[in-house]
Amino acid sequence: MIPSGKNRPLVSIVIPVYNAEKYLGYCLNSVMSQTYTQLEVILINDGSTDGSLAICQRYADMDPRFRVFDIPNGGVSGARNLGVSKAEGSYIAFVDSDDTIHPEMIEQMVAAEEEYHTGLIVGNVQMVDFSTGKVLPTRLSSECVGTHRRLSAEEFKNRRMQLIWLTSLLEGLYGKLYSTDTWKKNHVQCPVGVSLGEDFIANLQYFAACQGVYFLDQTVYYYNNIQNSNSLTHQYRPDLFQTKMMLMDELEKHLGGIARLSGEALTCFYNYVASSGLYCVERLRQAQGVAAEEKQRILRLICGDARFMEALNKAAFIHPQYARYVPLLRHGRMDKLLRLPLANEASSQKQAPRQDTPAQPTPGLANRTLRKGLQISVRLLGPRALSGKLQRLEQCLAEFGIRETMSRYGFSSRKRLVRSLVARLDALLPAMIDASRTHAQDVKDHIYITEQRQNRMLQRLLVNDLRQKKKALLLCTAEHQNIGDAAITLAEQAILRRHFPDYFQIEYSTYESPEQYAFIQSIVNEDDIIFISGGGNLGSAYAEEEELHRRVVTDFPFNKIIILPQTISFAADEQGRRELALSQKAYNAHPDLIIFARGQQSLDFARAHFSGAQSFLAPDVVMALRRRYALDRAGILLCLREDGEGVLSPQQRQEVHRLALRQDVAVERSTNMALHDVSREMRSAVVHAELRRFAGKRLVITDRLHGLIFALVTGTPVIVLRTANQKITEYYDAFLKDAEGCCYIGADMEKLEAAMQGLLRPGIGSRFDEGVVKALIARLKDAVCGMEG
Amino acid sequence: MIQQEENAAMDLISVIVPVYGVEKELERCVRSIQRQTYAHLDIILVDDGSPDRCGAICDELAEEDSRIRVIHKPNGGLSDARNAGINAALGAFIAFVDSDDWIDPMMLEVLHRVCLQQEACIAESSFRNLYPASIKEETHCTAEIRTAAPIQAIESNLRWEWFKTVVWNKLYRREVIGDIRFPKGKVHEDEFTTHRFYLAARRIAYVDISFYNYNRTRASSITGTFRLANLDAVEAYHEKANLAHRMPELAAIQVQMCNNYCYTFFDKLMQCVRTEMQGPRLEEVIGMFRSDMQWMRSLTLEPHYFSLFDRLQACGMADCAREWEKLTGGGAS
Repeated sequence: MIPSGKNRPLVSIVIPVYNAEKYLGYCLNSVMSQTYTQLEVILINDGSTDGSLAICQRYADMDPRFRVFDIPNGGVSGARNLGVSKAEGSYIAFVDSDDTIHPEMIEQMVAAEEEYHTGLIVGNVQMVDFSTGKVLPTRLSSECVGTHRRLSAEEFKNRRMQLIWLTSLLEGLYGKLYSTDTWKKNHVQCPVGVSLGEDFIANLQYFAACQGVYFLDQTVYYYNNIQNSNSLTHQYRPDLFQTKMMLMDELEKHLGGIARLSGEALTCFYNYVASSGLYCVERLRQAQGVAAEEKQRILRLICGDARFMEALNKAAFIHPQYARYVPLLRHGRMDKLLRLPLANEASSQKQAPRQDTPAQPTPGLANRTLRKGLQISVRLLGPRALSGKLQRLEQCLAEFGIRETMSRYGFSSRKRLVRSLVARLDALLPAMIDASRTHAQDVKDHIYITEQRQNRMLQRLLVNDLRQKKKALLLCTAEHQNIGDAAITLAEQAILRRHFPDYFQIEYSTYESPEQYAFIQSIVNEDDIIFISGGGNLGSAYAEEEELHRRVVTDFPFNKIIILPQTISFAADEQGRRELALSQKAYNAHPDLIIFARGQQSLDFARAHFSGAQSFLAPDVVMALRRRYALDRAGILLCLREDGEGVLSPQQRQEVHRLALRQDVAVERSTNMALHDVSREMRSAVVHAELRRFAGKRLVITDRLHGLIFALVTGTPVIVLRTANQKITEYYDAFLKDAEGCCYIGADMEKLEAAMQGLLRPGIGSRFDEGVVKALIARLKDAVCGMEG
Repeated sequence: MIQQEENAAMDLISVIVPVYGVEKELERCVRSIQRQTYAHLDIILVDDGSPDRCGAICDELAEEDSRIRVIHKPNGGLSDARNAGINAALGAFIAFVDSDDWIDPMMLEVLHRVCLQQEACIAESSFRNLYPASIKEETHCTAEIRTAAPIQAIESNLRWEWFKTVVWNKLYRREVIGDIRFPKGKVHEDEFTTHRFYLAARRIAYVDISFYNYNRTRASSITGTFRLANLDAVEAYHEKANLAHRMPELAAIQVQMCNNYCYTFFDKLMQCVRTEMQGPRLEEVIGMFRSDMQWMRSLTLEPHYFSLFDRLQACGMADCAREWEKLTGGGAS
């Protein structure tokens, strides 16, 4: 009948108090009002000089569970250690004197501990600016640990670094329940004299001793994060960077040395070090009343820290806000670094809880795309050509100015090339020397000169200029071997150029480097429209590309994002479900996302799972790529899949070939794949060569979607076979049922001969209803203009 | 009857909960009372003819806790329900909790202790306002204790400082309530009664800790849109100003009371004009104010109240309201 029995275990709440009179009342009030009543509240007044002690004593007068210890000021660590030594409860929770806790915090945490026996319960922490009552964006632990909330000691040990980097919940002592026994038996101590990260160090000691961890999916703690204040944690401290790096040493020690870390953990470690260091740079930049010379001195110190610089190079994630500092730090441009405009105040933060970590780091993706990009550049151009091209580029810049050069060469492509090469030139040199020993140094010099020159111009002219421009960004385009995908990008660019002529176009392909991505982030303004290139890669089959899609959608929450016609397919297995959950989260969180689906199934799927976005049916964009080739038609083209998606066996493909030969002496085969990756420079040439090939044929027999579409846009009669999946069938049903000169026979080989005879009659061409393309363009215009209106 | 031997020596506290149309919130409220650390309670749920499942929920709750009693009565409004609760109360102390709000576990224990320690007849606490997307503490919760004589407490009400006019943040000794009842059918019922409770008390104590969760998300509360019934606030001040006029003990706060009276009157008048509300009730209130103005003229009130009144007499409501909006920057409500 009367709840909260006296037989529940006692919980000690330790609150160090130092000059907190403004918010202390709220803090103690929230502790007093816990629904779990078996508490002892230990208040350590650490020599406050304001009214804090009086408030503590009044609470103690009012509530016998409160005890006050008044000590001379000695720092928060000593206060906490004293608090722990006085604790008699079975569990300990720490609360900071300007924060508050949820009324059910202790009740929930004790219940969790009694169920899971991990000795460590971690709850969610909500950032609130108490001065305004504003709730600040906060990440929940569920985004990092998923449904696997209880970790054994072993799992916790193996995932420790990842969790530290991802959750940002493991640094502070607040929002957690500790076992007093474990704490005391292992002599966990907050290091006295350490003024920053002392709580983290105590945590690291404790983590090594506890039986695992349980992440409570509940907000238990309200962290008072006053923006734009002069509070202690915002004050300038000259030793911030050194202290942080000492903390990193400590962390490394507790992890048993970085040599023992797995690849993923190591990446997280580098991310963490880079992020901590860059945070110091930002704080230094924001510090007021500090002489520029002093700031430069500290910056030089930072640049000279080998470990930090190494982390910067190896980190897979750099917060976009800090991305622009990285090249300046690398080149030691302190003056420039200090002159950059300050970032929005709102993104400044207290030391412990980070809000800037990514939902998902993308180490593999970053390294792979970079490597690939470089390989392509070298293979395509060769060192000699590269040098020659750069020379021409310089001439062009001098002669026509920056704008013309950009449109001639495709700006981002040059930049990508130059930047990537400079960044990784050393790794690249051996390959170049192999190819041409004499030119290697020459190349390096040229690139360096161009980079310097571009840097100046690009910084001054481009970045500012580009940031202000109205832009259409076409992201995640293809530079791989598939000509169909190359054609998609080409068609998308054509549509943007033709129908949105006042938008400046910028492309970012899946092969490009993270630096380039960061550059794009730095120039985007909120009026820009972001297009994600279409194709058949929205789903779990190409996880890296899907990851990039999600990243784009997450990184640009304020832009209209349009996903151009895509086939959507997530596998029903474990990985597919995981990918889908991540994508749902990302897509549904975006306020202004439009998805064009390349078929009814994809559309239904999008509407069912991405209900936060608007979804429409639309044809593949290549259908918009009309070209008239006045060619004499001769021969038959077989464009048949030889990969897993095709249903024809090699024997059946031979049979098709044999049947075709009966109708025409010239039978050609194409797989719609180029021999090399199709870089953006080659794209137009490769696609049009392929189209010409189709345009010169009397008939195309295909089970490739783009084989079909290439035939249709060149007016070539086409016979369509089905694939293992629904891709082509779905597409045919949605858009081509009424097309002329287009015959769908599924997998029924017996119909093939009759179909060929029908379509090879003279005067037959293929034609489709262009209304669907017009509808797509109208819809795009609508979406874009709707935004302007 | 409550029969708990261990509590025999303790004071019984009656907690009165008027219940109407809150089937979603009711249980949260009652549980918060059951979970009070001060357990010697007489919980009275007054089902004010609630049209939803509230009546049944009350009975279910009473079933499982012998401290809970339920009064089912025909609908008569908030004041009437509280009055029914007072009439049935057995405790030496009485507290009120509205059924869409809830209280923190230590509320009654602390208020009771403060009452005894400070030898007060009423003890009150701070509270927190719960808005749909945020929480606002009414004060800084420094745990300070203030005590006051009735007149100081009433003055504190006028300045909205420490002591508050609201009914539900207080623990009352039964004698203080005596035969004072809430005015049936009026809104702003606290404006009619709180000063009378204070006057019946020798000493009032306030503790600056918030225990009461005031749910401000419900649109139905008086804090929502303006209605003619809100003119009741003017009537309450009419009563209080006249009381201050008559009672020599209150002479010291007479001017301040009348200033508040004028403020409330012109503010409500402006809202009537803004929302185009008219009717005999408005006429009645204006008449009331007009006759009070005859004796208030002799006081040194804020001078613009006199000029506003003259403008009302000469040019009518609309003109007066415009002038008032100009004076207050148009944002007052």
